[in-house]
Amino acid sequence: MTEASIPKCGLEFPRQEDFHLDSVDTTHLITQAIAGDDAAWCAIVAEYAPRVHALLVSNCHDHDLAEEITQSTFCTVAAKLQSYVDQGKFSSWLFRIAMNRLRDEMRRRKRQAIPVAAEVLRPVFKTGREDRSRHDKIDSDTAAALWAAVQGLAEADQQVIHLRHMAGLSFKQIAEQLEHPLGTVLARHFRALKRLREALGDEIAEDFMSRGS
Amino acid sequence: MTENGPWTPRNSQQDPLDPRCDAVDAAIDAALDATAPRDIPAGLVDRVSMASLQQLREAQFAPPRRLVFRPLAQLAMAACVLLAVVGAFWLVGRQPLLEGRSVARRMATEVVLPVSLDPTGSVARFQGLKRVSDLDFSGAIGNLEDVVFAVRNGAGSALVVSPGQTDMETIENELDSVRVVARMDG
Repeated sequence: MTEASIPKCGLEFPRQEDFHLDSVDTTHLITQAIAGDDAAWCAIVAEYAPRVHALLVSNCHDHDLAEEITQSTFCTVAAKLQSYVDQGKFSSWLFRIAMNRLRDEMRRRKRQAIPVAAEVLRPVFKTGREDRSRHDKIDSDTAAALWAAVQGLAEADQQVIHLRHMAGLSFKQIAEQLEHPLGTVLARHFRALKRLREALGDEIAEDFMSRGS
Repeated sequence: MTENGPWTPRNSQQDPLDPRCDAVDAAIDAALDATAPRDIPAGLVDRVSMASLQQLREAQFAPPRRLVFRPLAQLAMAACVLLAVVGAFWLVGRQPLLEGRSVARRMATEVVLPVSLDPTGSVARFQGLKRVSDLDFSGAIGNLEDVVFAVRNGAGSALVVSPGQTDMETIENELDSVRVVARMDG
């Protein structure tokens, strides 16, 4: 968790190195937020707002629209939190609201998501990559090629990739979100990886493996 | 200006891939995780927190909708049930009354009306009719219905008028024969 991403609500709340909450943490925070604990709500926002935003950007490629819908989604969730019955599916509920809102907005604007070319994505990969894991050595061209290949996947396959890697959902959460069996989601993800492998070529795929090992 | 999202690359041990995936597939998955463009606008979390906190506080102070509407719904339900029960009682209680009144009205035209045609007739001669009028409600219904049934089925049609018999005697004989047929049928 970076300093910059900690909400500045003027409130004290527990700081964690990593705000990747599990469902138990989330349930606890929701209970506290319902009881009037603003810091608990800020912690929920800190955990989920960037992921909602990233998922929306991956679908609409518009940061302003993504932020607008992220705000609107969290306002809706906050307004309905009192009547929320926790069944461990908070993230599914949240992401479904966000995606429905995006779909409505796209429909309202009568515009389709614009496929992003590798050239457009390239600048994105040049920012803030330095602290990322063992794959630091993947250069921006390769990363851009990888995500350009994602753009070429079928919409259903892209959806799984975005939910997994942009929103940070587990396969189980993705299955809940899409209301599909877990096996279907896993199979779709497997198919997407195979297509990416074909699109990138064996050389790049082998290169990923050697870097990751 | 952007900042990195707070989530870290996942551990594939915690969220295993499809069993058909090999090491290369896993490497591509890890590369996707490591290179996903998750940069977010600076201050996004602050702005979202502030905007949604306001909604959260408003919702905390507003009474939950279910608490407001549940008593109203229960009251409406109780009123509907009460109305249905009252309506059912009214219908059940009214049905025999209507039926009795209509029979009595028919008898008034078919039986009582000819009697009133004779202003000089003695009341004592119509004791039979008086007995009918003295019957209680349920008895009257049964007798009168029998009488009507008998009249409609031709009772008294074979009556022979004796020479010198007055109209009132004819009517009384007719009524007697009707009663006899009614009793036999009843």
